[in-house]
Amino acid sequence: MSKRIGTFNVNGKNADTIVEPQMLLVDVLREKLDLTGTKRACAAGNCGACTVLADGDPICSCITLAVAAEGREIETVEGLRAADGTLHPLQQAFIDHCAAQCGYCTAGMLMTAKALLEANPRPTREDVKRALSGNSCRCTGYVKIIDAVMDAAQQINAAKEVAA
Amino acid sequence: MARVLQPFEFIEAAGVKEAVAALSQPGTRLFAGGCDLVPAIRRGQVRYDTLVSIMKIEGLSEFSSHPKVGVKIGAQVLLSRLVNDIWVGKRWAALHEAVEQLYPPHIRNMGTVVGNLCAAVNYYDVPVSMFAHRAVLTLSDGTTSREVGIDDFYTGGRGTAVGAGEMVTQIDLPPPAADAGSAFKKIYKARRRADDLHKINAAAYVALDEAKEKITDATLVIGCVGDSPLRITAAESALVGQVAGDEAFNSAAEMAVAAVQPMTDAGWVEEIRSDWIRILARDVLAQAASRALSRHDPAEDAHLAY
Repeated sequence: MSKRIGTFNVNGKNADTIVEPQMLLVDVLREKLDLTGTKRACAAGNCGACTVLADGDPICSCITLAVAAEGREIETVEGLRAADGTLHPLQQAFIDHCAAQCGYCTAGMLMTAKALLEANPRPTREDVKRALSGNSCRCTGYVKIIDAVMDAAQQINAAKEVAA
Repeated sequence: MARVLQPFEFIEAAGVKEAVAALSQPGTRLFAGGCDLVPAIRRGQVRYDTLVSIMKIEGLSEFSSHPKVGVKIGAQVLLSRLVNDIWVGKRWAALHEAVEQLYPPHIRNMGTVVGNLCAAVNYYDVPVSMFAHRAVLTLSDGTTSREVGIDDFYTGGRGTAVGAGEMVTQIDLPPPAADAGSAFKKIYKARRRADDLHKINAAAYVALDEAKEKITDATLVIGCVGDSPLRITAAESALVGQVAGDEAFNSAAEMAVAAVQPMTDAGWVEEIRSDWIRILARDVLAQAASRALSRHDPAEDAHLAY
C-alpha cells in the first residue's frame, strides 16, 4: 500500500482522494480536500489549532496519519454551518463575543467546544476551561472564548427547549 | 522540523500473528495511536520503512473493570476509555488521575494505554500509576503468550521486555485490597535550560488492615528519575505494619529521597529535586491512605461479587 485512493468521510460526505501512508490528516484535509479551515500550527500535537472531530471526539489532525483516519467520521469546522448557511450557535456566539482576535486557533476552539457541548450540554466555566486546555490561543483572548462557549451552550439549550 | 514525513509503508494487520510476522523485516514497527511515533518520525529521531497498524485486529479492544476481578485493558483501548470508568475512578484512582491529567486532552482520544507503556518514555505518567497498581502485561506471539510484571517490563534506556516476534496484547491490573486507596501526583514546570529539572511524578497504593489503622501493603513509585519509574522498595517494606499517619509517610518520603540517584552536577537542581520527591512521596501516600480510610462500605459492592 503505497499510493492509492482513500475514501474519507468528512462532514457527512464521502470524498475520494489519492493518499500516501506518510500523509497527515491535516495535510489531506487542507491540500487534497481543500478544507483549509483546519489550521496547521505547532504540528506536534501541542496547540490544538488542527483539532477535528473523529467519531465525535476531538483529535489533533497534525499527528494523525490520514490512512489511520479512513473509515472514521471526520468533522471539520466547515461542517459546522447548516446547509442553508445558518451559522452554528457556537460560531454565532464567537462573532457576538468577539472571541477571535487573529483567528488562527478559532477553528480548533470551535471543534473542541462542539465536542464538549455534545458531551456536557450545561458546562460550568471550569468545565469549559478544562475542555479547552489543549487549545492554545497566542493572542491570549481566553476570557471571551469561554464567554462565547458559555453563551452558545445557553443558546443551544434554549433552542432545544423551544423545540420540545 | 520537517514539514512532511519520510515515506513509509503502512500495513493494517488482521491478526496478532500477521502483525508480529511483519515485524521480522528490518525497519518495521508496530503502530497504534501514533501519538509518540508520528512526532518522532517528523523530528527525524526514528526512521521506519513499514508501520504495522494493530488497530484493525479483532479481539484487542476489550476493556473491563470490576472491583473484585481487576481491570483488563486490550491493546486497542484508548486512554479516554479509562477516564469515565467508574471503577477505575473509585478503586484505581492513581490510574484515573494519571490519565485525567494528560496534556493535551486530545491525546486521550488518540493514544492507547498499551502504547503509552510500550513507548517507554521515562517521564510519562501512566506507567508510574501502573507500577503502583502492579500491572501485569500479556505478551503474545500469536500462538503462545506469557505474562510479565511491569517491574520487569522496562529493561533500561527505551528498551522493554517485548522480544522479537512479540507484542503486548493486554494489561491486567489486580483488584485492590478491600480497604485500599491509591493516588498519583506530579509537579512540573517549564524547562529553562537543558539540565534543568522539568518534572517529577509519583504514585502510591496503600492497603489498610480491618481496623483501618495499620498498613498491610504499600507501593511507592517515583517517575522521571531514571529510565523507568522507580519502586522505592525500602520504603514499601518499612511502611508495612506501621500506623498510617504523618510519621510513617514522612520517613518513607526520606527513604524515597535517599533512593534516587543525583542526575546532574548542579547542586541547586538536586536540592529542588529532593524537595519535589519528598513532597510528592509524602502527599501521594497520605492521599492514598485517606482514600483507603474514606472508602465506602465494601458491602455496597456485594451485588457485584460472584
